[in-house]
Amino acid sequence: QEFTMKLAHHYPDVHIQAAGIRTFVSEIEKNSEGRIKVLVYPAETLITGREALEAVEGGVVDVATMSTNYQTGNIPQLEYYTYPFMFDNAQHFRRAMEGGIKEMLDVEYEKYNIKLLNFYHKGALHIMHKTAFFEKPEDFSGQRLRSLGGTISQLLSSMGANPLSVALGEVDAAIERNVIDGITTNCAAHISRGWSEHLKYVTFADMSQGGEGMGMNADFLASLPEDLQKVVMDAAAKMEDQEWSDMIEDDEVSCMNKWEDAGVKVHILTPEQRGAFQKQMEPIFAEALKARPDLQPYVDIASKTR
Amino acid sequence: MSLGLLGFIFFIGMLFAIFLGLPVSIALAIVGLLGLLYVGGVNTVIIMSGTTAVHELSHFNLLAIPLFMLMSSAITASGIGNTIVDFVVKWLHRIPGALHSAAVISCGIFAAMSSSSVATAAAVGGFILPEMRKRGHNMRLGIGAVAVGGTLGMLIPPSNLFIVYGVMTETSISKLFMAGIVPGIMVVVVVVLFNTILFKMVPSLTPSAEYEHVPSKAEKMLALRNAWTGLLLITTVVGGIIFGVVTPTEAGGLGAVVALLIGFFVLKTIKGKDLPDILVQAVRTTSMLGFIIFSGLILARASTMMNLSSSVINLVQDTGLEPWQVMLIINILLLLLGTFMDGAAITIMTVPLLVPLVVAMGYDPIWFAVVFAINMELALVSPPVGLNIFVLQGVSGVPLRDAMIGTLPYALLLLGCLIILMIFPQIALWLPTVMSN
Amino acid sequence: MNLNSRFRGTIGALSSFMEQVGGWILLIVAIGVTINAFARYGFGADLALITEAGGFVFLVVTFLGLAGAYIAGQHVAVEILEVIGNKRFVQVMQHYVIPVISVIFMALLVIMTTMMTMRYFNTGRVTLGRYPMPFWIFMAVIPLGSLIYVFVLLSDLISRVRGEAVLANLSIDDALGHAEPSSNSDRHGGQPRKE
Ligand code: NA
Ligand code: NA
Repeated sequence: QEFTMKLAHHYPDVHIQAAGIRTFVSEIEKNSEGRIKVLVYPAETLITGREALEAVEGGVVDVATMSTNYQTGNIPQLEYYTYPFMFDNAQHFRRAMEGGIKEMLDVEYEKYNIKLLNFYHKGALHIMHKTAFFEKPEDFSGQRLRSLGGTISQLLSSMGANPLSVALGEVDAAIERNVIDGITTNCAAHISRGWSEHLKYVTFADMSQGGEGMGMNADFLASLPEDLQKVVMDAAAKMEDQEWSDMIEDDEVSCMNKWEDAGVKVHILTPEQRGAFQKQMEPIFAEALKARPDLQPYVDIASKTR
Repeated sequence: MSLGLLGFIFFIGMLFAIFLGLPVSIALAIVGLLGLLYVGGVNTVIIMSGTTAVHELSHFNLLAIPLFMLMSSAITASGIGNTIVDFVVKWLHRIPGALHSAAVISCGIFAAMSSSSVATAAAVGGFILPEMRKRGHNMRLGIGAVAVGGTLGMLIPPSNLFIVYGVMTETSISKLFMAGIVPGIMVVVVVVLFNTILFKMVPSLTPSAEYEHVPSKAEKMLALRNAWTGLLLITTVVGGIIFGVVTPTEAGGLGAVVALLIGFFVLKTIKGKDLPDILVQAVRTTSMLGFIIFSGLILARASTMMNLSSSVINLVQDTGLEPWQVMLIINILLLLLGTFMDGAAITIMTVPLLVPLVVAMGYDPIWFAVVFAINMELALVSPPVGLNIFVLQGVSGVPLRDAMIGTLPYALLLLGCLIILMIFPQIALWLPTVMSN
Repeated sequence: MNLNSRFRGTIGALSSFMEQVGGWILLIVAIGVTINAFARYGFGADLALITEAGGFVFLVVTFLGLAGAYIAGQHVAVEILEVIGNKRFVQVMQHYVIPVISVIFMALLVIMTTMMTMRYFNTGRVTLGRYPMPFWIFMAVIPLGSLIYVFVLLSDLISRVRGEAVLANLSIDDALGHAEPSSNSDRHGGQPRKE
């Protein structure tokens, strides 16, 4: 019996993270010996990240990248691991994911009839500014920074910065016209969206970790014979490995080169400097834990895997 | 069923639905949903109809459309446009077709502030078209000039299209922006030349009262003095963006508020009881446009799900034709798509698939971005589905047929510019090359 | 007053009310983004609620205005038949065939988007950002606006069959010489007009 798998994702071909998806597809087609044919809809040509959950849940497509930052409205737990300064770096983030956080997220996705096949890095948020680095909490005082709400905005406010809610499509104009002084974003967006033209100072803070996984419609997975299920899971595991190493390499090596080429100055926070920010986060964590008791296991895993 | 046949049925079905006289939005959506039903089943249709609307119509940038519509209907009701038009007509009396040319130049200037073509057309159209109508100017040509001028919103930076293109293809957005400047100016110059020659050769296009009456210096000064409300509004909107007070989307809100305030308190042309009508006019035009954008997305998604665009692109790739022939075919396909589809939908559908092919053939992706942008501009002004035409007929109240007829000559000029750009890529590439050296 | 004219009156008033609501939302948002911009410029602070809710305004206004835009004759259609067909044929198309197709399509849209609204209601999805709002509220505007559009179309179909006044101001009527000299740029609000 032959199966057709509709796969939608949000990466254009040239994006570093599209490589892992190509691996996923070719592994499946190769190891299923042609019994699974994969139809790929790349770069949000069919659905956008905002709809990926409904689309996979309802079987519009069989598998898609779960754009976690758009899914916190359904699954608030997806925000927990993005809390600022929760992890020291991407390696720590990976250990925590594999040390129990992914399992907890699996349960949340199951409520939407989605099997989370894997989970991988999506880059870390840093602080990009026109003229300055941020080495200590006081440096934030009075700065107008674009931030998307949640705990990052809370942290920024607590340090005296003004977090502003500029919509994505307006960021370029806002930077160019001095509506804002800086943004929090990851390396890929900083460069590919051209924000590096005006924001030449990167404080490499590893402030907030991003991650996502491939979500598959559970009925579709169950409809496959067991050997093909294994083919899919193996391909997902291989993709996961590749995404982690590609992204960490990109964040820590390639980005530095791209930034250098673009004339961007980078300051990497020292452990002591990070310590001051972690301290700044303590009351925010305490408050969040009171409001959301189920955050506790996430924090515990983070500290256990440090 | 073979893909070719499916695509053919799809295309014919849509033309049939449109020419039957169904509202364009419903025609596109019916064909789109039938396509989704065929390829994805009932569940897909249900989910897609809901998520497409709720997620794709809820981007903050889209707020620019209703806000500029509101500004436009406030300008119309307050008569602010009158003062500006009077000023242009009196001061540029000697120049044939001055008002129509001023409309295009205003579009070019506004396009340098706004990312959105529809917002550009609505803003400038709101100023000029109702006045043109009152004064008996040629409305067909007026709509045509503003419709095509408005498309410059996406060619002259800043441009949402170039941002999306840049992110999808990892080409430098600042280079894309620079590449759009010279072609954008070229379009303005070509249209102004056309206007000048046309209105010179056919004096009857200008209302005789204006053609025969040579304004005195005193009249000119009076017109200038009276124009201050319009100049204030323009300065507020443009200055607000330049000085970083408002973003381009918020500028629509600011413009609407200021236009209403001027109408209420300065010109006293708007009374409290007029307000609901002004608001409702903006709602209606927005609703018409929003429903078409929604339907266009449904249609685009159906054709993506059927793999129509990727099949066509593969087909073109496998023909073994010369690169320039492939490029020609790509342009013809984009033009065809553009007749009934909205530019944003075409961009999402085709850019990720087209650009790798274009680059592999050895073409410069920056140049192709500009070629693509002009194609998308044409999509906004080519019948039967041209959003800028729809917006302007909504703003001006001119029958759709007249709006389409009037837009045609200007759309042909735009096509001419596209051909020139295809032959002389340097027009786009010169500035980015100079700037990066 | 017969039943149909009461139905028509109610529907006309309802669609007029919906577009008025859309209009006031638009005005509030216009003022809101302006104040927000000046607050940001002057004090470096903004109200994220404006940005977050503002993103939904285009959607909401689009669907709140659907019926009103139809009554005002603002949903564009390419009336090529008007040029080539004979008058009687065009009239049947515009007065009956196209409204019937539109009713069927819009009614399906109502059903499908109601299902999606229920789905969002049941999953409890909220919007992103600092001010989470229930998503289903925004989704619900789609079936609501579409439903009123269906009612307007139905009401006019019934009225046409019975030879009574209709709500919609179709440009075809102007072209066929049925209407007052005014074109579709004039606003008829929710007022019924005699055919
Ligand atoms: Na622009
Ligand atoms: Na078109």
